[in-house]
Amino acid sequence: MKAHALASAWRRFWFSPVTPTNLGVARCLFFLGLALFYFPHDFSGWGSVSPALFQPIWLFDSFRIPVLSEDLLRIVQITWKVALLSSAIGFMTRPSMAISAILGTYLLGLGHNFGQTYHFDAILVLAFWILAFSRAGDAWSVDALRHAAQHRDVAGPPPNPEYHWPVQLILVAFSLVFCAAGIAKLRGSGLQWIFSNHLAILLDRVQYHISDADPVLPWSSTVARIPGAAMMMAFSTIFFESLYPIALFSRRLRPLFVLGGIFLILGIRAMMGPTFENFLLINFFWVPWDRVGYWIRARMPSRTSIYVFYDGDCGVCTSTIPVLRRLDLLNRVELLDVTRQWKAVSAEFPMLTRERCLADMHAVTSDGSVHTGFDAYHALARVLPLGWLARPILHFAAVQRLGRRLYRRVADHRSRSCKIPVATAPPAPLS
Amino acid sequence: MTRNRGLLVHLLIAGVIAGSAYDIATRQEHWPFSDYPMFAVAHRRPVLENWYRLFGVTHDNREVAILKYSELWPLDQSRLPLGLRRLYQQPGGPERVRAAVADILRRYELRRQQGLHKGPPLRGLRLYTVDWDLEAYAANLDRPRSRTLLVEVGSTQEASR
Repeated sequence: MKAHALASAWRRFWFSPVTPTNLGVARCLFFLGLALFYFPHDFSGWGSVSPALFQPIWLFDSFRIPVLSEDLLRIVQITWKVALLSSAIGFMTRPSMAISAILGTYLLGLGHNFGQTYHFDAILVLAFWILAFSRAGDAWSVDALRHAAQHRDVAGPPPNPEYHWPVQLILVAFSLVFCAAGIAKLRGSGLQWIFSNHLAILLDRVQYHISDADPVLPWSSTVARIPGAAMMMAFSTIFFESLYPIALFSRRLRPLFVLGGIFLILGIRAMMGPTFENFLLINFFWVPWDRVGYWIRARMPSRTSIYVFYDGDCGVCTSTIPVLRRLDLLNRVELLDVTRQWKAVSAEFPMLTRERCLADMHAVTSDGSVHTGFDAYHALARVLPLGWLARPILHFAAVQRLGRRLYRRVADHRSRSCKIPVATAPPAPLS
Repeated sequence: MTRNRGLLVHLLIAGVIAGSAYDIATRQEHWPFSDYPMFAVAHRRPVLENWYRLFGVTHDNREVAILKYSELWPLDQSRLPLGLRRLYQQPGGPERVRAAVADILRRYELRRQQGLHKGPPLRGLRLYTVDWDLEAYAANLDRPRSRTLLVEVGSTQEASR
């Protein structure tokens, strides 16, 4: 009975079926954050550091992994950074994440062979490998949009245990990092770590340029001299580190420990120096993005901002519709099939003609203005959150001209991919 | 989830947890697993002792501490001293440390000539072990209690080798 309950709890913890949203959004933000963080970082220097300093860590020693030349390292790091970006946008997600894991392990591990193993990036490497084995690209990815277009899949993947275990495993690994740090302090120094003036001494020590970076804030020595302040900080550190795994099991205490962990890392950077910023990116996996989405939508006035009219018999159009549905995060778009719903459409939108709607995509915004072709997409960009990214570019007249020309070309040739040919006569101008 | 897929996922879960737990229990480091021992040992006296620090020797014989990341790249002011100390304490370490310091000087000068940092031109590098009695905001950074020269290398000296 007990074993059965344990197995059931194990399954619930790791394999509850959930939607792919949390994993997809966290993947997107995690890799985007890493791509931005590591973009200016140059690993190629390791290729020319004296071999006299080379003291290999077990991973490089056991597998006899060599230090590549500067030129090769440049190629490897460019490939890795591209893989991080493509993992973020979810383009060829699985191979991209696999490349991110393999090259990331190599590049991030390389520096640890030259004198000292830092702990800023270990959890990132674990997260890379966990994600490489996951189906994190099933949502919030270019791959998911391509799948939706190819299979006319409007609904998206149903809840599945595959979307739960990767998030849980990354968070378990993250919690173990904090917990290990707390245990190491208690084991190494006992309660002396809190009740001696150790942290005050540490706050003075870091002023002597002994960390990989200097403290951001010039307050450390002042704080060290405020009676009880260093002890209070030491107590908070041990408390949040040692008990951090509680965040895995208690939904009520989770915000306390997650925020505590974030402030701890920010505090270390600000007052002591070590650069743990990239470590913070793991916190994206704590956020229940699906509930954040519901929360935002519930607080937005429910109204349609744009009506989009499409040819339901056109291959290009019907493959675009599931993509638009996926991108319509705020439920602002009403999609109407001109072929099958013309009666209702003509009654509500008498200014439209069926022939024109079949020839070009049409959109009517809430102020009643009609947009056709590329301009309909432009109007959509104002409503779709992803389109907001494109708006600054779409503002340029040259881009608009190019867009209209491109749209015309695709629209005029779409009969090849459609079941029915487009109208041969040019549509009459709208009155 | 198929049977094989389930097995793979369980293996991954077991690997991550066992790897972390093993290092925590045995106080070892198998990067990317670790027992995260940073700052774990309590300091009882307000001193910083036996810290390895590199000083550049300028052409007018001044000594300047080499601390900036751009001057040490890709090493830094923490990884380099700790690595040098560990190396120095190994059999045959001093010779390896000398080679490493000579390489740091070569890289420093190369990067300076390329305009990648604004440090002064150096004719040599000295590695000291330095002791400080701690003061607020490292007021005595330039006045350590003691320091001992471990290694000295010079660009001409190295070139003639």
